[in-house]
Amino acid sequence: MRSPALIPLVLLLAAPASAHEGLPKTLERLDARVEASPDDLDLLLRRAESRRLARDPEGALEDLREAARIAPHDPRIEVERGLAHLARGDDDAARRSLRRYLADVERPRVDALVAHADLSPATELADIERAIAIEPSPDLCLRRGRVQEAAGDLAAAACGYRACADLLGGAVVLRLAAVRVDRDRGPNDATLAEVDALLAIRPDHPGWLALRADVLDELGRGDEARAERYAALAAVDARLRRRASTRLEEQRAALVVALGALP
Amino acid sequence: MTRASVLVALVVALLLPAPSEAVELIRRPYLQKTSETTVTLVWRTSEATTGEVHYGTDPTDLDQTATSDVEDPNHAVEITGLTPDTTYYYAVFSAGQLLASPAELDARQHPIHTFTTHPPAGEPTPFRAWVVGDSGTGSLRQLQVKDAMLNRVGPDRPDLFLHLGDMAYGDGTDDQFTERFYRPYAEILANTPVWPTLGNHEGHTSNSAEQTGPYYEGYFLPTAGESGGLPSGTEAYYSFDYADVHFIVLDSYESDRNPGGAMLTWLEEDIAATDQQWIVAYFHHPPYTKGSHDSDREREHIDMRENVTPILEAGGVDLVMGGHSHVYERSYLLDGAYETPSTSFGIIDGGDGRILGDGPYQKDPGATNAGALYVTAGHGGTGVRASGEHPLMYITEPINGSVLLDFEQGRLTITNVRFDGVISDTAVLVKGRSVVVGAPDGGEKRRPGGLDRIRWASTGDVGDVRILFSCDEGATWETVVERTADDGRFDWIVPEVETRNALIRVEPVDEPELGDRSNARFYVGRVGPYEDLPWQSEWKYWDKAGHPGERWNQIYYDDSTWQQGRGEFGYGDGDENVELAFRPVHPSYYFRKRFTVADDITAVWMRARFDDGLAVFVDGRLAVQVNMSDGFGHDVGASSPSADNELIELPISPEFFDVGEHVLGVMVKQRAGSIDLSFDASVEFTFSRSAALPCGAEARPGPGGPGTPGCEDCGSSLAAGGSGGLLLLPLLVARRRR
Repeated sequence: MRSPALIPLVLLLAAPASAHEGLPKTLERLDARVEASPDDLDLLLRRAESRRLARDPEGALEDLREAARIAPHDPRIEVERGLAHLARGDDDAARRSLRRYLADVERPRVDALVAHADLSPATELADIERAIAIEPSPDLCLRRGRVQEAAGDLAAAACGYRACADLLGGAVVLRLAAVRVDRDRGPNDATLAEVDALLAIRPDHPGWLALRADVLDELGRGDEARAERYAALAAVDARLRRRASTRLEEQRAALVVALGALP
Repeated sequence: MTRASVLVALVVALLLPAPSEAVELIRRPYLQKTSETTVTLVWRTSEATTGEVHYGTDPTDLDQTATSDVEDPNHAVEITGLTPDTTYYYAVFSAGQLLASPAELDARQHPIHTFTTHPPAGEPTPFRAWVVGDSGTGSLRQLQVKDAMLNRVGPDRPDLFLHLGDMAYGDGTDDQFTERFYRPYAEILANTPVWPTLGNHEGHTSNSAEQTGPYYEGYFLPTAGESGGLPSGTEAYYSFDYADVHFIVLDSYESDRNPGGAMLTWLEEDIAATDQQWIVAYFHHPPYTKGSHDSDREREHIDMRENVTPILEAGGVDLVMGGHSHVYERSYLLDGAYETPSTSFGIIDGGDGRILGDGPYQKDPGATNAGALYVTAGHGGTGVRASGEHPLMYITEPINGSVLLDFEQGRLTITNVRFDGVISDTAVLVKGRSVVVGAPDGGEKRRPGGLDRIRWASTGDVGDVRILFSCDEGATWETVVERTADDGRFDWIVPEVETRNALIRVEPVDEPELGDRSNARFYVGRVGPYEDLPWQSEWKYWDKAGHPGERWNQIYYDDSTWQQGRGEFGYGDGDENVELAFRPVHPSYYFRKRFTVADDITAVWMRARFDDGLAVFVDGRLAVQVNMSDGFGHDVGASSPSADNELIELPISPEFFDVGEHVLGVMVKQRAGSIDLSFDASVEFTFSRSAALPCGAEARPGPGGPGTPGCEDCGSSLAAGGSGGLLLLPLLVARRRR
């Protein structure tokens, strides 16, 4: 092994060797291919995207101008143009191109919808709704919920979180968001069902047992809540024996206080 | 297809040549989303067909079937209802044609088409994971990294393949995935599940938000907690359990890295919910690096350090790994080093973590914020570089390789295996009190009758220890010494046995469950092969501009005016032990090495790193030449350029090496216009026969030995100072490594 004392010398002099193929290589190859086939629309679009990723939006726009000469109505040109404008900081032009693209195609690219949502608060909710319909993800679902919460539409937010959780394999982030919003607007039986869905994954999860107790309290079911807190306390203690953490200690303290004893 | 017809099809397919219109495998079968009871088998054919998998625990009786009825070139067949911790053999059919058979073996005679279900979560089953990052060049170096790992582990193959991203340069396209990931690793992927994380190069063509592109189309990853862990709702980040380890895989490139975002919220819940003994996290952009990327300057690294690392450490993480930066780096034991720029603040154990050095790192079982190790392993096949030395890293090495993780009881061993086979770093993290064997620890070779030192380290007070030897991979154990002080060393006479399955075990006499054994098998015997001329050996060398004389490569040549030094020799790369004269640059450099052969040799294997031309002579007779087609004249340069530090491995005829004295003469040539030159070599010799007993054979008196002892006498006969006595079998029965 090379001794650490030798390392600085080696580091400074180490040969870069043959680096992997990155964007510059890809662009080199595309340059050659575009030169050989200057009217190939797909190649021009690929190079425009690569140039944009390589932080050369001006070059990308050049390719797109050429592409538009070949196929003036191809929507792929418009979306790439929007993203290139975005990359060069021209939000107005980006918004115009993306809007045209989104109006033209039935199933747009999700990144175009998200980019347009970023640029257009007025259509943010609609854009994100449309993106979720195409390809739901925890990030998109959370974003939609936050927009709805900010607009005061808690019922829609909770409903959206719940629907997404069901769609995405029971993603815990979304179930927890649904419970949080439900509790803000006044919990109901569906809130309890959501917590139970979480506990079905980890029946001994102290945080979720405590959460169930809180919901039961809010539903006016104090005796059940108390029993649940004892179960949570037992789960915390079992977990602490296995892995101590500040989070668990805090949970324990909160439970003890809620049960009316000194921590 | 019935069971009988499967057997018939297997036989027929093996006997008959493939028809010309045969469906071809574009991507050979690979294992995905494995768990205790499930596996998803994925493959791609040249045409749209249906798919069928036949599987069973007996390779000659694949008595169960799972099918995919959709006609498609991409096949994914989920198999459920399996038994935990069980190996199954499988055959794959598409359009009724056998494409993968359980009878196929790889070049190392390892069955290719098998899968093994996870051991039950929470159980401390020993296992091994292979960690690779930034490999997807499709280059020779990528293959050398893989082969070095396979050579290191022998039959103890990894149970998991963890990829840290950038597996298909330059853009992660479908073709690049096929050529630079699925094909080079096909014989590993067919029996070892791969658990990837997205690299930035895959991000060029794959999209985490949409779960689209070649990365997401090729991989089938858990979104609903199918392999353990909490449901993330996305394949971009997920977790899984294997034995007593919880693995967390994050997306450091495309998913939201901010607190309150979906990924970090899920992470907080997931890490809080696990009860596993060990927690390992990995993602593409490591929190600490000064390789080809700088973690103090680039957003992804900073976010992962400032936002993610605190959650991981508060949750009790033990090991965090990343790629992206093309280097191998391994940290001290750290906690709380979140600031930018990084300083040495956060080192809680500044030792080397090595059993034979400062000793293993230690933390209490179940402790959080008690220290974690950080590894950058972006050295899997692409060009390597280091821009400096990170203050939190114990070792930084800009040389290609990969990493092995060995989990056994309360111990995690991290081993860096370089592409040339050198083990350049081994660190151990121990939870609680324990003994950890340091030597022999796997891969060593020991000659029978030789004096050798067994080394170990202990954490906490474990009392006296007992030492055991196994010649059959732990099936039976022989006592070397019943009780000796826990002082970390014991000298013994290597037993007269011929085995490639030797292990040493050291265990506290009063608490044997805290003991440990060699991390992998080592060799005892006389046959070898023995690397009697290792890397970094001492050579005579001539680096003057003038010619050293016509007989420079002959035995009877006076080399007393030559200089002497240890490899690597050269200039221009910065990795030389001896810098050769290069002002002015001249075309030929010469090396000599004298040695004596004492026994008959049956094979010789030479490995050399060189740049640019190489010629090897044995006693003046040419044995090897590379890039020398312009001749051997002193003023002639190499005929072609080599790669930097090009590695060749090739046999030399044993006929060169009769019993007696020999000299290896090496000529290394510069290529016109090149600014660097390199040379180092190792030579392995295999000897004709062994006088030692094969493992398991009936014991008989050895040369000069005391006669066959009873079993109860074996232990003392193996201890140093004994008469080099014999090995007796069998005594204690111990568990086998999986």
